[in-house]
Amino acid sequence: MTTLEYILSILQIGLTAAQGLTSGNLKGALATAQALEQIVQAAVAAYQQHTGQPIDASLLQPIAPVGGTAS
Amino acid sequence: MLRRHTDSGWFAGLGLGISLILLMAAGWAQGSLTTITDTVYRADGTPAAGTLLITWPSFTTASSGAIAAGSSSITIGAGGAVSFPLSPNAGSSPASYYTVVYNLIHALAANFANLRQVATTPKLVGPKLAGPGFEVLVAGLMVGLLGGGVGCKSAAYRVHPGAVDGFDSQSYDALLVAQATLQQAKSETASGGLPAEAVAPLNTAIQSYDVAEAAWQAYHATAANAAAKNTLQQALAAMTAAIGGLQSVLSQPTSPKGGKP
Repeated sequence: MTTLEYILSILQIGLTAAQGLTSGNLKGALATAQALEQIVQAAVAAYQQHTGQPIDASLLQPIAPVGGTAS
Repeated sequence: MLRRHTDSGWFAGLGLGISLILLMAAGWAQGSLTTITDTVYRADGTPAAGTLLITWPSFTTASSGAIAAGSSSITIGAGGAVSFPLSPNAGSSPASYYTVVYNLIHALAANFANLRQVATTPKLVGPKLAGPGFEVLVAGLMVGLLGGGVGCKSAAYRVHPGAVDGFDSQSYDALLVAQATLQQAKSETASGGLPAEAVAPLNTAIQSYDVAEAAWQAYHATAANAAAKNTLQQALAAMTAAIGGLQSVLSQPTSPKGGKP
């Protein structure tokens, strides 16, 4: 698997999750779908904003877990 | 981080766009197939080219017709024209939706659905797929993907200046996207937008990202050291698997929200 395919796999999160919503209740499905839309758009924007730009290693940082401290 | 889309071509330049629309038939009399006919446009307003992948779960129609789960690939015709038949699913058991994935060449469809608009406006506001009896677009999602996958053969990957090699550059992209994905997921979880069940797999994915991020920093710093490359490859694979775990949870039927940390 190439690294670009890794990226595609990551973005599949929105597609697959949205498909899974078909068996849920409409109100809850929409709320989650809205969240997924934001996630996907953030991911796409991250790619777009840096396409062709010089590598800046400082842009990649560890992420603190939910409810936890920075790792 | 978040860029809102506009009709002037927010996604212009992307090699491949996929927009995903969940459709629900409403107010449709049961019985024969209905034909969905419309035109798909690119973000710049020109007719789109590509394919639509339509999938649906198994369901029983309101008139007791059994529909097996399936899929169908539709090629967008000249001028962006699409036309295809679907079985009505209004009143189906269980409630069902058609999922339409747009695989568009070079750009994304214009006017894709804004979920918040759709949630309050029971009209088709996204990429139009209209037909007799189909009037409600329940939800829409759009994913802009990269060249190099299916769809756009002319898109060329641009290696970042300063990268030690192509792998370094692409790994950097993967991690930038993963970082944005996970940070946004954290935000959505904190605001209750994602179910509480997402917290554990999200934290697992974050942990995997952190490992991959450190591995990339090492690889980048050591200028393509073979051992570091192997470590990074394994870390990226683990990260992808972890995000897959999160994806599995989000694919489950909805449950009460409450993901605040």
